[in-house]
Amino acid sequence: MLPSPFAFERPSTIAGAVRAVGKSGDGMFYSGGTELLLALKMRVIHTDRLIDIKGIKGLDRIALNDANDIELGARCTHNKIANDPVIRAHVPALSSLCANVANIRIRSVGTIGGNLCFGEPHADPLTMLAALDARLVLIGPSGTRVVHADDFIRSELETVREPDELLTVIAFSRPTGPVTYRRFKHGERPSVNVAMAWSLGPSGRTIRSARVRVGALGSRPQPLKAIEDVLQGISVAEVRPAIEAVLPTALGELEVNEDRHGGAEYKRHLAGVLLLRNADEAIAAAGSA
Amino acid sequence: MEFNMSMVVPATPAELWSTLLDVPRISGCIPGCENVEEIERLATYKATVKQKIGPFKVEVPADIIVESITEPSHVRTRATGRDKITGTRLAVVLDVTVTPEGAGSTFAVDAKVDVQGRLATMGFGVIKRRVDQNFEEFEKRLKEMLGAT
Amino acid sequence: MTHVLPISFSLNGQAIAIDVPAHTLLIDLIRDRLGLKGTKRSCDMEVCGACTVLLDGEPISSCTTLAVDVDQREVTTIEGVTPPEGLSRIQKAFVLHGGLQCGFCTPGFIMAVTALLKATPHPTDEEIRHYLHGNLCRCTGYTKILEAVRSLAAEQVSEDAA
Repeated sequence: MLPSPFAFERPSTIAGAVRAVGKSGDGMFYSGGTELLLALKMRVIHTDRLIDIKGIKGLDRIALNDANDIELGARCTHNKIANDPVIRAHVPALSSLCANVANIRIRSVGTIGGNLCFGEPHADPLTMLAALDARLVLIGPSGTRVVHADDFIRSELETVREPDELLTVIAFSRPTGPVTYRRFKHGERPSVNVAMAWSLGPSGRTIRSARVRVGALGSRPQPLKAIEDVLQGISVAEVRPAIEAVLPTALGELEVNEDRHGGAEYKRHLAGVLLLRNADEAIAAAGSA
Repeated sequence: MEFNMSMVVPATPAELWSTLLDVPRISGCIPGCENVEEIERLATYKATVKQKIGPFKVEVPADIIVESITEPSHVRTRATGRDKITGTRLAVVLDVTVTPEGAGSTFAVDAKVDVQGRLATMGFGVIKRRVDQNFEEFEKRLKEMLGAT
Repeated sequence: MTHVLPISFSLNGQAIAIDVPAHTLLIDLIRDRLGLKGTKRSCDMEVCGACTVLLDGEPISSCTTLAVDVDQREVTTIEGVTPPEGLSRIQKAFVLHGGLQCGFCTPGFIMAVTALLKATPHPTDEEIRHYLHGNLCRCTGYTKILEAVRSLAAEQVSEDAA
C-alpha cells in the first residue's frame, strides 16, 4: 500500500525540527523510518507532516567522554553501533545486540533513537539500556530534560516523550564489569530478552552491584530485584548457586502478557533460562579478565 | 471480546430504570466515548469513540441503536462505526440489567466488543489489553456514578 | 494539496533530476517513473529483500524508503551492477552454482552480495549467513546461494595468491 500524502520538511537544526512538529504535535519526526514509514504505508498511522531529522548535524556521534560516560547519538544506525570501536571495546554486548536487529537493510538506516521512541515492547535496545541505567536526553520547546531508560515507557507503544520533543543523545556510564544480553532469536517465538550488567570491585572477582532487566514480557523492561539483591557484594564464584536459590521467586514477580506464542509460566521459564546463560557468560568473562 | 461486570447499588430497580435508559449518561462512563448526541429519544444516538495507543489513533463516529427495552430490567444497545483513516470497524453490544438485591439492586453490564481491520489484525494483543483497561475504568466510573458499594 | 519536491540523485552513475510527491516510495520511482523493473516488490514490509537497492553502497529496502530520502545520494540497482553484455562476476557465480530458480529474489540477493563483498571481500561462512539473513528465497533452499557466495569469497584469495 501507499502512504496517504503528507507534507515533508527537512530542518537543519534541533530547534527547527521541534518547531516543525508543531504545538499540536501533528508532525512526526523520522530518520530511517523503518517502523514509521511502514505504518504510514499500511495506513494504520497518518501524519500531515513528516519531519526528516537526517539534515541535523551531530546527532549520530559515538564517544567516550571525560566523565567516563559513553554517549550515543539518537540517530546512530544499528549498523554504526554494531561496528563502532568504542562500543566494541567497552560494551561489546551492545554491539552484538545492534548487529542482530532485524536485517542488514533495516540496520543500514534504522536508528537506536527511532527504535526507542516507537516503544515496541519486543524491541531489544531498551532492555539493555535499562540494565546500563542509561539516560535519554530529550529536547523540546521548553528545553532539555533527561529521562532514565527505566522510566521511558509509559505503556505499550507509548513513551513519555511528547510529540514535539526530540530524543538526541543516550548516555550511560562506561561499564566496569561484564554486560550480557540474550534473546530468543529473531523470528523465534515467544519474544523474550534478558540483559544483565555487573559492576565489579577492584579485584575483578567481586560484584559490587548488578542490574538485571527482562524485556518483551510486559510493556517495559522489568527488573529482577531479587536477583540484583542476591548478587550484590558476592564473589563471582558464588553467582550460580545464588541466582538459582532465588530464581523462582524472582521470575514469579514478572508481569507477563500471555499470547498465542506462550503462557505466563512458559515465558517466565524462558527468562530464567536466558538469565542463567547470561550469568555463565558473565562468570567466564569475569574469570578471564 | 466479552466483558462482564456486576455491582450492588443502594437503589431499587425502579429507581435505577431511568438510568438504564439514559444512553448518554452510561456512554459517558465509557473511556474514549465523547459527544454523545440524541437523535431519537430511546431509539438512536450518535457518539465519537476515540482511542490512542502511542502513534496509533482511531476516531470512530458511532451509530448507537437501542435494540430492545424490557421494562423494568433490561436494555440492549448496539454501537457500530468505522474509522475513516485506518478503516478500523468497531461493533459493541451492551446488555444492561437490574435485578432486585435485598433493599437495593444488582446492576450488571455484559459487553461484546468486536474490532476489525488492519490495525486490529496487527495489534490484537495490544488492543485487547487496552479494551480490558477501558472496561475496568468503565466499571469504576459506573460504580461512582451509581454509588455502588 | 500534494507536496511535490525536486530531488537530484545519481542512479547507476547517471544524474537524475526529478520532481516527486513527498509520499512517493523509492521502489515506485525506480520501477514506474524511471522504468527500471529489475527491482522487485514482494513482501512490501522490509522482510524479504526482493526490493534491495544500494544507497551510497549500503543495502536498503526500496519498498519502505521515500524517494525524497535519496536526494543528493547515490542509488545503485540491479541494472547498475549488470554489464552491458553478459553477466557480472557475482551473477556468473549464481548461475554456475544454481543459486536461482524462478529468479524473483535474485536481484535482491545480488545487490546484498555486492554490498557484502565490497565491505568484506572474503567473508566467512558465518558472516555470509548473517549478512544475507534478511534475503528470502522460496525456491532454492539457500544451499546453492551460499555455495555461490562462498565461491566468490574464496575466488579473490586464489587471485591474490597467484
